[in-house]
Amino acid sequence: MKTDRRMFLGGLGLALMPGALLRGAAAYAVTPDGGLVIGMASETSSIDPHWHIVTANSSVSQHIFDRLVHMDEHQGVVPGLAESWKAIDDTTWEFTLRAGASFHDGAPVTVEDLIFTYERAQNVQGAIFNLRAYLGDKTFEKVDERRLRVITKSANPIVPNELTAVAIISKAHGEGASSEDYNSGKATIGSGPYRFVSYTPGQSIVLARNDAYWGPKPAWAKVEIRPIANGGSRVAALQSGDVALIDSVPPADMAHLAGVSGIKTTKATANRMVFLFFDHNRETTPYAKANDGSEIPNPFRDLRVRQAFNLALDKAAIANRILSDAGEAASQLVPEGIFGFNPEVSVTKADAAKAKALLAEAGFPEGFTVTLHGPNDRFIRDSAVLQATAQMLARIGVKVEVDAMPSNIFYKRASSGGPDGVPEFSFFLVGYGAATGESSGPLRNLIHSYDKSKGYGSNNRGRYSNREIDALIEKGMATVDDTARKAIFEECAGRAIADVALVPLYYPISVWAESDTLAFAGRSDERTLAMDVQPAG
Amino acid sequence: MFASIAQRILQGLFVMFCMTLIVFAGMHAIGDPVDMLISPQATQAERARLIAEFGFDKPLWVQYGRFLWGLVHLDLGTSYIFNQPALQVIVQRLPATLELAVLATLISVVVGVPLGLYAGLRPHSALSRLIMGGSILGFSLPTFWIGMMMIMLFSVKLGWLPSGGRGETLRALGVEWSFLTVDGLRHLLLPAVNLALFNMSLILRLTRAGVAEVMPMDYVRLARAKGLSNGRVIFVHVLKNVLIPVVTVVGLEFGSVIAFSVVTETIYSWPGMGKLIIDSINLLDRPIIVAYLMIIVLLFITINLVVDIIYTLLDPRVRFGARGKS
Repeated sequence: MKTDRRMFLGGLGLALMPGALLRGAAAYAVTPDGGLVIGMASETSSIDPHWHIVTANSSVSQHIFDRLVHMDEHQGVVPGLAESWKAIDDTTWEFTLRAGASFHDGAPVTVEDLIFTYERAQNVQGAIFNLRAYLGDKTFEKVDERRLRVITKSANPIVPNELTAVAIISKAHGEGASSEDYNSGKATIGSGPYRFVSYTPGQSIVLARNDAYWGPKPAWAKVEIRPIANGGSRVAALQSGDVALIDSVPPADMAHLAGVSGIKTTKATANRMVFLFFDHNRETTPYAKANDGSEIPNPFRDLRVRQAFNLALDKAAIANRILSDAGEAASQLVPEGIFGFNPEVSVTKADAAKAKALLAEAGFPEGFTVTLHGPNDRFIRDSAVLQATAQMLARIGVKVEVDAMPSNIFYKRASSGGPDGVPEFSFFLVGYGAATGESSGPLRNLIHSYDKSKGYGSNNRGRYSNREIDALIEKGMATVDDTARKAIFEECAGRAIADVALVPLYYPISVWAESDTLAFAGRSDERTLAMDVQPAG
Repeated sequence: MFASIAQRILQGLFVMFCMTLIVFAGMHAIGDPVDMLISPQATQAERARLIAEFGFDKPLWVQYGRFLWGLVHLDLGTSYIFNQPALQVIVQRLPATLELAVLATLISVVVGVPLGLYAGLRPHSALSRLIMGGSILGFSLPTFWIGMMMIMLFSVKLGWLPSGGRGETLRALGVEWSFLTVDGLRHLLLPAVNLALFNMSLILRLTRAGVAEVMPMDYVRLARAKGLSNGRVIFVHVLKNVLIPVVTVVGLEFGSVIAFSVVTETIYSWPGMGKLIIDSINLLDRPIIVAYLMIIVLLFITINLVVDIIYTLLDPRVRFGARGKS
């Protein structure tokens, strides 16, 4: 339904493009005094930087608040408020604060501010996305005026990556401040490249350049961020010159925008993987049945069946045709360029004949029936991807019934909809983003066995379990040396994919469109930052 | 009359109470927002801790009891998405929706009634046929399509009007309003017209049908026989009788324009309540959903009350609360 409308509107836009009605050069929302207006698909729910770490909120908070460690466009860690850091031993990290960094009120950033920040971030009342997930295992100690020690309960090699999630706030203004105080601007004092000017929920966020910023000065004196939820409206706002840059260009509008003069698009592969997951655990799985409807043992416990599924799916076709190039065919847990990507693992070439043979070998020469569950409002064209998957599997004789549902129902059932709160589905479509910019997240939370006491496998809704890989992941999680850890994580990825723990389908590609008077490269963390935008030429 | 109003208010409160029960039971059946909002990095222990903290693991009646307890203290809960009191989130967005709805209703009445009157008085003229034909388009074309077309034409091609948003606002009575500034009015025009089209067509057709029905009646003839001017016959005698069903419809439609203007609000990025309720349902933000629906119920009760009062002004035979006595 949603897709149809987009396609319909895109088509209409296309039909209307040629002809005399076309306006001359649009006055794009880049003003001579250096203002930039950005249209974003999602609305920022709060200016409180510790409330909910979701793209729309992080994008805004990154302008106002620095982190101790920053991420570059490819999510590599680079110095933020800390000019350097080092691991002293397996459980201790030391960060050295940058000299000369100050808050918007002129006060210098001190170690006390850092310690206060990490305390508050874990204790925001009512936060469901709680930063305890990043900070819970750490204690913070002041060494001297410039140095902070982070002590972890067990060896943790990704402390700098984890700290990129936490915006540093001023203790003087943040003490006792509620989310409301951040929305109103009362407590919104950061050390970032932009100062907070105003926030009108659902309408706009206005920022002004911080001329005292320690880092490179951004090009725009004033930035306005507007939420424009509807894809067609976002494109129209760009075309009419009301905004100069938009994110999440609807796939249907890509072709039409390519023909509009004065507008160009920017693409960047996101650090997220959309994949198909199996029920690896139960002896019989509720949604897989023989062709006559009788019970069969869980077919997904057989590696050959999983391999057959993997071979049956033409990932390139899904990425290029179904998603109109808004996705890149996936080979493993993270896309190329992210720490832990194994260059030896490549995208499986679809081979229906081989898949059929494997299926026959596994005892299903006539295939079987299975229900494929998935969300219909979470990923770009997710319903269409589900349908395409079903058809590709039909070619090898597996009859797939698609059951797509809104994500508010889907995720609950996928996590705990079965008897006794176990995951309900047999075969389903989900996604996982490597928020820390390296592969430990998906390895620890998706591939590692579900282990409540260790806190591993929390997103392992297929209950995949392989003791050898588990041991390897745990070893990697305790290896602070980057080179050694990288080798371990690459091996984990290789083994998990060889064992078809899951079938990676695609990495979504974030698509921006902007006035061609701007130079913009895009980022892998899906954020849209005015700091990344420069005047062209 | 006052007893009758009080009775209405009591009835309304009962409806509200029933509504909260239904919403609570429905939302409980779907689940809680934890799975959608929690950090993908969170461990199982952290997840369990959050669920317990919010009381999502408690039986439905306990959660409902807590809600009622809060309600007694005038607390509708805090939004899981915005971290603000639910009522505040809604009230923040109410003025935007309200001014859009008022302007849209105004446009639909100011344009719809005269056109309907004309079409009713001269049913066979070419203009009347054009008006009636146009009105069919008005309620048969989908709102989102007309909305997009207007943006394409007026913003992208002609560049006369902005493509969306609320524009410059001015503070009055402690609230930001768009209709007080020229820039705000320019932003308001397209969404208001878009929202008005359907009701305009409806009102137009209702008025025309009313006029066609009333014109041949005896009292109109009598008025003419008395030698009253044509203007007085039409605007006093005919219009007053025609307007009664129109007022009912305007009242009801005003309510739905406020409550369900989501399509127009989304297309024009209008920061009103319509989009809020859809987002909240998608993310299972229960406090907002409950508070929103309570406000909507309250709104409809108030509108119906106002409509009844207007009836008595238009038609002296209708007496408020006099049912069963005549």
